[in-house]
Amino acid sequence: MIHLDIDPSEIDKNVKSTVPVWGDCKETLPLLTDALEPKEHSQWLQKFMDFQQKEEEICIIPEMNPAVEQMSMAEVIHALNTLTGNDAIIVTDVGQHQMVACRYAKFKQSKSNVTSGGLGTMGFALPAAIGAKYGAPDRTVVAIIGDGGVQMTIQELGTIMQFGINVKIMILNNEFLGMVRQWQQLFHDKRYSFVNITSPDYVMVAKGYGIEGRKIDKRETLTDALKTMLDHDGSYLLEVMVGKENNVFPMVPQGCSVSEIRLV
Amino acid sequence: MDTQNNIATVQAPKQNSEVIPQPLPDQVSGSVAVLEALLSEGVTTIFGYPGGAIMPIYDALYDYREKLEHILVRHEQGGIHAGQGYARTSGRVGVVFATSGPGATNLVTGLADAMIDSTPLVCITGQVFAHLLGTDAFQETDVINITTPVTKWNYQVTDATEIPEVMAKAFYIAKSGRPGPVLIDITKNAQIQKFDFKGYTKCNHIRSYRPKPIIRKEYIAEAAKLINSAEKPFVIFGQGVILGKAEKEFQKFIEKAGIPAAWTILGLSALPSDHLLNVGMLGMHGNYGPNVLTNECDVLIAVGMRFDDRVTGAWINMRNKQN
Repeated sequence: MIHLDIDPSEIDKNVKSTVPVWGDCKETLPLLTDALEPKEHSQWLQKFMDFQQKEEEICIIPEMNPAVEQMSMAEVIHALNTLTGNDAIIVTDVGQHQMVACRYAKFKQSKSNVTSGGLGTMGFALPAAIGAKYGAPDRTVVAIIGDGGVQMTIQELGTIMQFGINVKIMILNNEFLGMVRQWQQLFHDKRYSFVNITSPDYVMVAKGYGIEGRKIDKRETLTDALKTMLDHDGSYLLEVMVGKENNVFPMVPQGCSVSEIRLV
Repeated sequence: MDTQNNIATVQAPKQNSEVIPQPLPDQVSGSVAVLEALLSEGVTTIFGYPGGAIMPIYDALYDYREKLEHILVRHEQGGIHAGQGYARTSGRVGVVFATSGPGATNLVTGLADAMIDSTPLVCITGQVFAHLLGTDAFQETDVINITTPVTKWNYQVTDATEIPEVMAKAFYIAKSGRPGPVLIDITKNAQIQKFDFKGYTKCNHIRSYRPKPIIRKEYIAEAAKLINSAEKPFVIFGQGVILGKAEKEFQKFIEKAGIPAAWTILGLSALPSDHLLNVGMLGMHGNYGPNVLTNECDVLIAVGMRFDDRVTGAWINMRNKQN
């Protein structure tokens, strides 16, 4: 195990390393690269491809092409990728939509993914998207938020209104605190304890703030609705109703080894 | 939409201000020193919310509204998350203003978030007059003790003469080495106090603070030897690649040695999604291959990531068992 990090307190904190490479990776990586022999590990890489293919067959393709009437989060993110040419800044909140967005969103350039990683702060995305737009005013900023997280900091619609901030707000509404519900289903005998969350009429709320919006629940309208959102001159709120009891897979159950990953 | 555009036009700070630039007097208030520091650090945008204990700074800001754009949020938590979003997409330091008491405590979640996600922020909080500290004054709270575990550095200023140096340290600490949030709490008397302002000097060194550890060449050689002899090397990378602005260096590194690379959630977008060696996401809901093959690789190279339990799964348990 080789660990490159600028913060010496990270070395051997959680996992013991054989060689600690302290320093700024902007400096250590070129030094290390110079000392490497050019190689191709094609057989080894092929192994990753094989696993990828298996995951595509069991997880990804069914997720992106659901056999049911309800939309899946994955197909929404996939449609968004297509329309933005994989070049939007994606700001996510915390929960199922965050995991799906990170799994399915595609990126061309760095600093395009903004999310609350370590702390897992629900309510992060809407205000973070405001800052993201000021930080990169020439780029398209899409905030992807669940129906739980958006209700935690929804007051920031007022900031968006007052300063005319061009952020696209996409609420993926499954009418549940989805990640907690998924755990209750898998590890607590489906005892759905206080995960059933109701939502206001988001389109009307947005309207109250002078922000245009639309709610959709049919697959046929998805591309058109996303296009309208992206082409709109200014901020826009799109609420997409998705399957209520969809789960995010693959999943490594807590406390299990990473190789005990579950595909279904 | 018309309504929104009208509001934006009316509120745009650049259109309704007629500030004539004037040279600074020799004596300035602590508040002016704070804003001069921001300008010297290249700050253009502030996310904030005013209140009683930070009013002198907001009063000074009125004269700086052409140079410093202030975004009035609806809640201090919104302000700090906006500062984080700004820092993450711009690669610069996010700046946040809040008042004392509830204004300051509302920042705590964002500070904790920025601390664990290594996001550079400078937060300025107002504080009650120094002579009222410890009297349970209106909107008084001990924000220094509250925020100590969730800031890279925090400091309370009660004397305006300290402001230039403290602000310079704040920016240096926030962005150097492993970035993080800094909180500067300024008592109201220090914001009002006039003092001889001798200009602002950026900080680039603090005794006993080593943001960049010295590179040990022998470790580089040892690492290269391991990688060169590896048959199944595997790179896992995190946000360190982005924070270090080392995306190109990273790409060259994996390309030369042909090493598959997987990302943590914060490392996402450092390597283009369609890169041949990008094998996907690590962690609880990561991709199948990277998770399973972590246990099969012969040399694991971690770059700018910190082995969160969501990434390691049961590695920690396994390691503890072995010990």
